[in-house]
Amino acid sequence: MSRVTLQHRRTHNLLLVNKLLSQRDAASPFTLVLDSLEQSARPLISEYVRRAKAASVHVVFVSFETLRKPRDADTFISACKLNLQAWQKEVIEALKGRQGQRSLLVFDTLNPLCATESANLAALLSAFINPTTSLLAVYHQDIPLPISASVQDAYAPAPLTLLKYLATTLFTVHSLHHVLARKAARERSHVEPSFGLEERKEGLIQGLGANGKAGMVLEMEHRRKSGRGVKEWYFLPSPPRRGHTGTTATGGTTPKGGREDVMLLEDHPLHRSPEREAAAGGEGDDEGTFELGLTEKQKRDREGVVLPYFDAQKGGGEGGRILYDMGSEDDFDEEEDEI
Amino acid sequence: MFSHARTRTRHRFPTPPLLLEPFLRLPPESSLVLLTGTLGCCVGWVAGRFVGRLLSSPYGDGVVDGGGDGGGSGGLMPEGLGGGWEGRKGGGEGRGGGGMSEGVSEGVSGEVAVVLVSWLHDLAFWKTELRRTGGVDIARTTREGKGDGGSLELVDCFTTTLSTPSIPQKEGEELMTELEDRITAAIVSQTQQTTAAQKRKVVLVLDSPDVLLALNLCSALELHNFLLRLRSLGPVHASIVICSADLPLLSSAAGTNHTNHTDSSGSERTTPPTPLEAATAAFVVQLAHLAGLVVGVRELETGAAGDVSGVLRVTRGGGVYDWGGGGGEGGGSGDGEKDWDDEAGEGVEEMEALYLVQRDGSARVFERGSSGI
Repeated sequence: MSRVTLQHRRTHNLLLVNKLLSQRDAASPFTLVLDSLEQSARPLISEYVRRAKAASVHVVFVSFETLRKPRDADTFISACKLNLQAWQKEVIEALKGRQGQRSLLVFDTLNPLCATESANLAALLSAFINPTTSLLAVYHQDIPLPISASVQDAYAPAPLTLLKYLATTLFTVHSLHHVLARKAARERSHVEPSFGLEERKEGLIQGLGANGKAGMVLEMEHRRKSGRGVKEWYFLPSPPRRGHTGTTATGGTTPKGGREDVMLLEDHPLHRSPEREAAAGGEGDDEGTFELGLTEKQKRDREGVVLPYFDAQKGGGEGGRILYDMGSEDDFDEEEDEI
Repeated sequence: MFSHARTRTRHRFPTPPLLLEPFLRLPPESSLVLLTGTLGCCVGWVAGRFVGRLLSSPYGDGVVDGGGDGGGSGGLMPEGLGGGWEGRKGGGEGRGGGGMSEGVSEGVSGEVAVVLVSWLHDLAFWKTELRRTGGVDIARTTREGKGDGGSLELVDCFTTTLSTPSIPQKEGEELMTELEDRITAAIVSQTQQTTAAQKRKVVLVLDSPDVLLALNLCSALELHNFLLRLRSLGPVHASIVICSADLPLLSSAAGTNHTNHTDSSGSERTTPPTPLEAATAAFVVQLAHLAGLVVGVRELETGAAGDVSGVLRVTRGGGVYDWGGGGGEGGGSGDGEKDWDDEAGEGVEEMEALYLVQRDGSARVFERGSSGI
């Protein structure tokens, strides 16, 4: 893959993820975030809500497991204490009467709904989506469904399959530590390590490195209207800690707007691999001890040089002649040099 | 006499292991701590230390002396005592409902009341366990009606509810409602005893609520909502839940996580999980998603050893992230709130170490490779 194509893909996919996170132009009506114990989706949801707040989008937070209202949410509905009809009504109330203003409807987990309402999950969720409202929902992948529910509708698709089918954007979150560990093992042709519940060890729930502080890895699958899917891996850094920004604001080390933004995973310093960069064509400039590339000025200068050969072609047939422009540093010698 | 007793208790308070120390603090508001153990490794000693630490004053000796003053006036406070006994009466008939209160407000912020709800162990177990590991003497505090700094109330769901012959005829829902009422009453009675303007923080400790799943009294979702309702009660500051995390109880959760390891796990499991396996796994995993701190103990993989009881692992649960996202914009609303990573220091650091609990209850936590001494 040439360097230009890579650069193009990078620009395109970064624009795409920023568009998705900011929910511009109703980019994705239904975003599904799949998380696990190894990496919680919460930082991603917080990022969504933060950006929505900045763009004055009305945020309705439907809680099935959260006790406290998130700081940036506008409406908080604790659905775990209400029955289906009651919270549905509250959601519709909250979304109504906001003509023109865009809304973001957040579900902190869909697992309870999948356990109880698996039959009419699709109808339930799509009822909320309209041109000004987009839906953002989390599904915990490692919570098994109750057995009775899955026997009841044995021929219906599993709720997760259905949700994946419905979603216009699918984010699967991973822990950075685990992604790096798997990559390191892959490069050495070792068996990839597993973490947490996958380790299948007695008494183990979470792996070491779960929910890391530095940030998280996003695996995105975005389905365009045309049906073509875009897949990309991103790295979402953690927001700066609140104690350092809001109250103290020491020295402007982490100013409000200047936080690091989402980047491609392959651009992450710990994930970069030398071979890939070599293939991409001299991107490893900072790796060597000397400079192989050219700066812009050097390039321009090189373009400007007129080689004598071309000049000779123009004149034609005058015999051998040395064409030379005297420079200021040249020492002209009458006897030896003749022009 | 009171002060003498207190001094003795303070001396007997076992110092928590150094490596475990940073985690034994009052959790942030409305947060959850999950302690998991296995059949071979009981996590009770961590719970005991947690409770002991919460009840003792976490602010050093100066505050403990302040507690001495409070203790002096505590003798003159029959309301506090009465509240405790009332709580005990409300706690059900039989020998199990051990309610006790200190009834003293020290006027120090950070006074904590612990409501311990036990499904898997009876009063006698916790009496021993808390004395051994946490330095909390339930018997003495019950007799004298006084604690060491905070107050502790034990709601015994083991002896009084689950083994009463009338229960099996009852519907699961009725029982759950009754349990909820009892626990709510215990929590409320803790705050009513406070006389000072300072609101007492109640930490709810739930010992093995997953027993209710095994008894087929409710589904995982109902139990989850049950806990959410308890946790969202006004006075409850934070909750600590003790669960068992044995492999058979969690294996159905591991199977649902589709990574590139499905082949190996698929071959391991030939039969679909039983309802109980699925329910327990769903409940425990859901809790771990909400918990800020997950403390798990397990046996050594290499087999039993004389000088090591097991492996202790502390990890960051899904609840470690603040929902606010740290944008720093809601300065007004976020002032009083503290979150896991907002605490002084570097927040929750994960850790894995070996531990040894001895017969007298003293515990050592040490790095792999270093000796336990």
